[in-house]
Parts: sequence; structure tokens; C-alpha cells
Amino acid sequence: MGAEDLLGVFSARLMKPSESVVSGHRACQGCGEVLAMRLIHKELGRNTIVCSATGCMEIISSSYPDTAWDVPWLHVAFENAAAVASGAEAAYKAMKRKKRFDPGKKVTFVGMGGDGGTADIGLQALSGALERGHDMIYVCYDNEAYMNTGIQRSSSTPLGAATTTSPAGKKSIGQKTWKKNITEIAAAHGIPYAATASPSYPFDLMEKARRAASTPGPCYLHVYACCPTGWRCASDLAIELGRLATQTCAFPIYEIFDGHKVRVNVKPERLRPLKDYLSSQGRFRHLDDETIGEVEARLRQWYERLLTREAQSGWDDESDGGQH
Amino acid sequence: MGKRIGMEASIAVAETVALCDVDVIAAYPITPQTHIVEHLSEIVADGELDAEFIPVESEHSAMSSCVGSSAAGARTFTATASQGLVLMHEINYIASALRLPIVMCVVDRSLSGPISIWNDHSDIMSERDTGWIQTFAENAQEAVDLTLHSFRVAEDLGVLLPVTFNLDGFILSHMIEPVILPEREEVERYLPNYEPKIRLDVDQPLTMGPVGVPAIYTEAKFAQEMALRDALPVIEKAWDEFEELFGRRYHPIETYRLEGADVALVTMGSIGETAMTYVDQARDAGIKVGLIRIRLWRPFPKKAFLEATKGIKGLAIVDRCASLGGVGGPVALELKGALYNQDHRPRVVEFQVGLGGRDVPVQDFDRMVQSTLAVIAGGPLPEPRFLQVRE
Amino acid sequence: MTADVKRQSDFPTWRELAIGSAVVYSGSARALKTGDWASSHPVWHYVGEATGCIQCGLCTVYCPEGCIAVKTIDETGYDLALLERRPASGITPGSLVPAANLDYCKGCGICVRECPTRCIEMVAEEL
Repeated sequence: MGAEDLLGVFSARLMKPSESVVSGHRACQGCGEVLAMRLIHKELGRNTIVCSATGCMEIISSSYPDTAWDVPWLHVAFENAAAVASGAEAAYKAMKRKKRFDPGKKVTFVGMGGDGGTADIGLQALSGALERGHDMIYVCYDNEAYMNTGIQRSSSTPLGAATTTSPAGKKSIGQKTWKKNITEIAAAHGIPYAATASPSYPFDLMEKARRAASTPGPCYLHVYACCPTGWRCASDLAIELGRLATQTCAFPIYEIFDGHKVRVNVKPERLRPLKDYLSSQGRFRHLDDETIGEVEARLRQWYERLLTREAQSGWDDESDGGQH
Repeated sequence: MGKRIGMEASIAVAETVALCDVDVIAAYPITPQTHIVEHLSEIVADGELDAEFIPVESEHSAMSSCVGSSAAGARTFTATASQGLVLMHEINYIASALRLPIVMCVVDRSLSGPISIWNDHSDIMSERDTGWIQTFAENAQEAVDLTLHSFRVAEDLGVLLPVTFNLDGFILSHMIEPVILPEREEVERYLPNYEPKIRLDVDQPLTMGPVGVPAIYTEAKFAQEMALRDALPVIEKAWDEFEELFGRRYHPIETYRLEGADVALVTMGSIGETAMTYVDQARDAGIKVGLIRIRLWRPFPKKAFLEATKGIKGLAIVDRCASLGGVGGPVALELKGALYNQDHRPRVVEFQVGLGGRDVPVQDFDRMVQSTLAVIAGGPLPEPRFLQVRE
Repeated sequence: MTADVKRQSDFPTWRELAIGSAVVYSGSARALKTGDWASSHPVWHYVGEATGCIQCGLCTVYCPEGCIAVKTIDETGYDLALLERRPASGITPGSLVPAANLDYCKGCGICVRECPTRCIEMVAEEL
């Protein structure tokens, strides 16, 4: 179907028509991560070079001789997507300056990985890339565990979630530690743009991809990615759970400009009880009300802090929150 | 032809890298490689070389950035040593599997532990299986010449493999020696622009580094093996062309005073120059000894090596590295492997010396040769040993 | 596997492998009909008793496979007699509407759940 054919239905008109991630990929049914990736790359378009970490998205999209990628794509190892993207970005910078590549052709560089390949083993490479100021986007697809290797915990696994290396048991509530906030770590590098996003708010997600692509310097996107397989939920819940995550403060959607100016993009009219979010996910089914209450309180506290920081960021009515 | 000047080997390497007009340098400092990357930074900072110098946050990221850069189609260089080399080890295998013509200077330094900043070959010996082309320089001129040769070979469309050239840490890297740097026009004649077969290009999208399913992994590795083997004639031809342009001749296996020799020392790296001094003294004293120097370590030039051993009764193999728990040092294992199925096999006596920067004087070469002569004369074969250990 | 998608051999000789084992045909994954995985698939009711498809297109946004295409109603094979019974819906045989490409649809059900008018129904496949 050509681009013009999509004009017949409304939402499709709000997206760029071409698909850089094609059907036939091997993601699980209902995978929220591949959906997010698909939407981001629809927005970023064909002049994009993607450097991917090892992980779910790499495995499902590049099993020889099938590739789901319709843009140039390079996979090297697990912990180095940001370093690989840095090298590619620097190469193009040098080659354009030396006039061996067309200096007028804008190419967007994307380093991508899961929460494992970003927050844990990939944190050093990410920090280096952000500090050096490469003109690139780093996207972390956060399904809150090492899903590709069989649902082992990461530092992005939320407290109380059961994974295979943080199982719930007679002496354990599952993950014992609080989810590491990589968005804040990224912003602490003083980069021009860092944001959380979710495919449950797809137009916000795509707008953030657009903003990241048009902002010079390093930009970081942290994307919510529901994994029905790892979260033990039904395969049709990716979008609904993402909405609930935001409405319960489990995954707030916000932006940080220049390392400090905060804008909260999704402000639920009424915050929902955390239980609404946890109840359809098997990975939380062992949690008692007391633990859920403690987690809920801490999540809300963080959300309130975000709102306070937004108020202190000095947005006026006319400001759109940064340059286009 | 340039003027002959006194220059530290590291600086000379950096100057040559700059003359090769590299596009991207991604490097992390580690003793004793630091002078190379510092000088390259200066050259870039002064605008004498138009390149992106990426001050990466670790050697693992150095090689990762080199992979990204080379995959994008840029001429790419890095340098490292010891702990840095083994930190990038994971990615080294991938660089060669992706067939990327990255050039790396390894300034050989012993591996921890215990931590040692001094020279031996334990770092580079950990890279034997990585699929890189590997050569050894013995003096500053060779370091300059191998720099140029490395880019020429790596980027050859019949090769497209990463290349490492080795300098011994401190004892070569930090020595001021007379060198002739190539002129820019000479470099341009010898080294064409890098025009990759495939690269990351939005006009021709493709996927690099896919999942190597069992159905293709064997073929992928065999293709790499064949690429290394097919690289040998290109390496030699590039040395032929080098001689035409610069007047200096290099071979995969260099020999010195082997005519009529009963015993041959086998060395790799700068220790070969001390060995040459010994050979001259020994010959004056009537000992029929010669020297085989391995210049090309990977792909191992088996044919040339076997040719060099013709008529030799005993080999004294010098390893600047131990292979703990094995049946010999790395070089000894390689050479014994090459010799095993031959009709004529010299006796092989093995020595591990110069570990952790320990000096290997001429007297030690005499001990090695005397030991080998005793074996040829019918004496018992000693176990491979650390010649210099104090017991 | 779809025959018309360009893709390299599953069992190449070592010479046939592209350099560095690259996959040179972008998008060759289109050859894999992941629709085989599904045990049920979505059916749109373009015109329903209360309401049908309002052509909002959210299903085309939310499909992880990106396999919800847009076709004219008569291309979808929908029973046009249903259209005739409710002319006030404004939908005609030429109207552009979403439809899942069953070559790729894995039957996850996201479109069913997210459809604002609940006009999509999951139908189990015959064995």
C-alpha cells in the first residue's frame, strides 16, 4: 500500500508513511518494544543509521538471512551500542568535512539497546557518548529485565517484580532494589534533551523522536516497552498497561531540557491506585498490600517532585519548551 | 625521499598515521602507547591532520567506535597495549568478522598480574585467534614502514581485514632512532583512498552483524580463514611495491646469516636486533648459528618458515611470553605445529625470556644456543623453561 | 516463505556469503509469514449494530507488526450487504478502511483491545 492509501484513516495521517522496521520480524505477539521501535523509526525515516546492542530487538530483527531493517543497521556487541554509534557519527562528520561524503545530506545516528544493554553493561559507553557530545540519539527500550536471555533482572526491574534472577520466594519479594533512573543519569550529563516516552502515547513518542532528531548533540529517549512474555500478562495489554503505568506514576512521561528544565507531558487527571497497574501482570502477583503501598507512595513522591521541578523550570505560557 | 632524522618511534608512528590521512582515531591512553595518541592529538589540534579524534572512555569503546567508524567507510586507527588490548578483546573478534580494515598499533606490554608496564608479548599473544593480520617491527624505521603497509593491506579489496602492527613497549616505542618518514606524495602513491565494498549508507541500506545461525556460522568462519590465507600474497605484493617506492624490503620471515647454520635462533620483535649482535659475535667465534625473525605472525607464513629451516639441525625458539599450563610458549607451539608433519624436522629447544620487561642480553642468547647445540650433539632435550628465572 | 521477497540463501556456500556475513537485502524479513503463528485473527466490523469502524486508524498505529493496511472495503472481502443495510453510516464499498494482513498478523489482540468503538472481533482460526 502506498503512502497515499493511508490517508483514508485519520491516525495513519498523523504518522509518516514509510516503515523502516518491516513485518516478518520475530518479536513475540503483542510485543510493546517492537511497536515502540517501529513508531520511532517511522518518524525518523530512511536517512537513519542504527547501531544496535545485543538484545531482543536485535535478535528478532536480524536472524540471517532475514532482516527486518530497511535502513542501514549494525550490531556489534551487548554493551557498546553508544560507542559504535559514536564511531559512525564521527566518521560521517570527518568524511563530510573532508568532502568525501555529501556534506548536505542529513543522516540521523541512533544507538539503541534494552534496559540491560543501557543501564547495566552499557552504562559506561552511554556516559562516554553523552559526555563527548556526539550528534546522535540514544534510545533505551525498557522492558524492565534481560528479556532476551530469559527474563533475568536488570537495574531497571521495578522493586517487587519477579524475574528469574530475582524470583519471588519464601525469603524474597522479588527485585529488592529500586528501578535505576537512567533518564536522570543521562540528563546529568547536561545533554540538550532527555525524555521518557511510551507507545501508549504514540504521538508524544513520535514527536519526541522528531525533536531528538532535530536537536543537535546527544539526545536520550527512555521508552516504556511492555513485554507480555516476561511480565506474564496477556498479549493484548501492551498499550493498556502503558497507560496504566503512567496513570499510576509507575512510568511518568516527561522531558528534561539542557540537563535541568523539566516538562511533564502526561498529567493524569486522577492518579490511579498502583494495584490497577500491577494486577494483570504475573510478575507482581506475589506482592502484599503493604509492599504495594510503600511502592505507590514512593512513585507518587517522585511524580510530585517532577511537577515541582517543572514549576521551577520557569516555563511561561508562550514557551513551547525548547527549540525545534 | 624524506630526510633521515632522529625521532622517537612512537612519534614516528603517529607522524606516519597522520601522513596516511586517517579519518577517525578512537583511542584510550595506556602506558606505553601514550606518546602515539598524545602526538596524534597534537597533530589534529594543530589542524595538520583533518580527523575526528574520539577520546573514548575505555579501550572496549575504542575498538567499538573503530568498528562503527570503519563500517561507516572511514579510514580508522587506534593504538593500545596490555590491559587495554585484552579489554577490547571481545570486539577484536567482531572487527575481523565484519571485515573492517581497522589499523591498530599494539605497543607490546606484559599482562597483569602482577601489574607490569614493561615489555613482553603476553598481550598480543592473547589475540592469536582473533582473525587480524599481525606483524612485528624491530626498530623505528620498521614501525614507520609497517604503519603505511598496514593501511595498504587492510584496505585492499582482496583483503578487507583489520591489521595490527606491534612495537615492543619502551624498548622500541620510546627509543629515539634514525628514521626516514615518507613524503606525502609517496604515501598518496602507495596508499589509495579507502573505497569499501559495503558500508553503512542510507542510499544502500543493509544489515551488518546479523545473528549467525548454525546454518551459516561455519561458512562465516571459513570465509574469514580463507580471507587470511588469501591475504598473504597481497601482504607480500604490498612489500614488493614498498621496495619499489622506498627501497626497503620486508619479508614474512626474515633471515640473518642462516647459510651453513646448524642452529637458528627464532625471534619476533625488537629482541631480534640483540640476537643479530649475538649471531655476529658467535659467527666470529666459529659457532654456526643464524637467525630467523618472524615479521608476519598472522596469517602465519608456514611455507616461508619451513623454507627458512631447511638444513637447520636445531631451532632455539625465543618466546617473550609464557603459555601457562601448556606444552610450550605460543611461538614454540606455532612452530612445532608447522614442523610436525614435515619429513625434515630440526630439534626444537624452547626458551621463555624477557618476561615483564626483563632485559635479554647477548649472554642469554649464548646460553640458548649452547643448550641447543648440546641437544643436536645428542644430549637430552630440556623442558621448555623460563631461562631467566632465579631459582 | 514468500517467494517474491529478495533474500539470500538459507544454506549458502562460504563464497556465497556476503562479506562479513552481511544481509544485503534490506527488509528481507518480509519473506517470513509470521501470520502462521496466530491461532486467531482480527475481523473488522465496518458497520455494526450500534456503531462500526469510524476510520480512526488507531489500529494501524498500535499494531506491533505494522501489518494493518488500509484498503477499500470491497478489497477486504467484507460482506457488502451489511453496508447496504446501514447507508447512514456513510461507509461505502470504496471507503478506505483498515484490515490486517494475515500473512503477518500474530493475533496479539492489541487492535481489538484498543479499538475505541470495539468494532474488531478476534476470531479463532479453523485447524
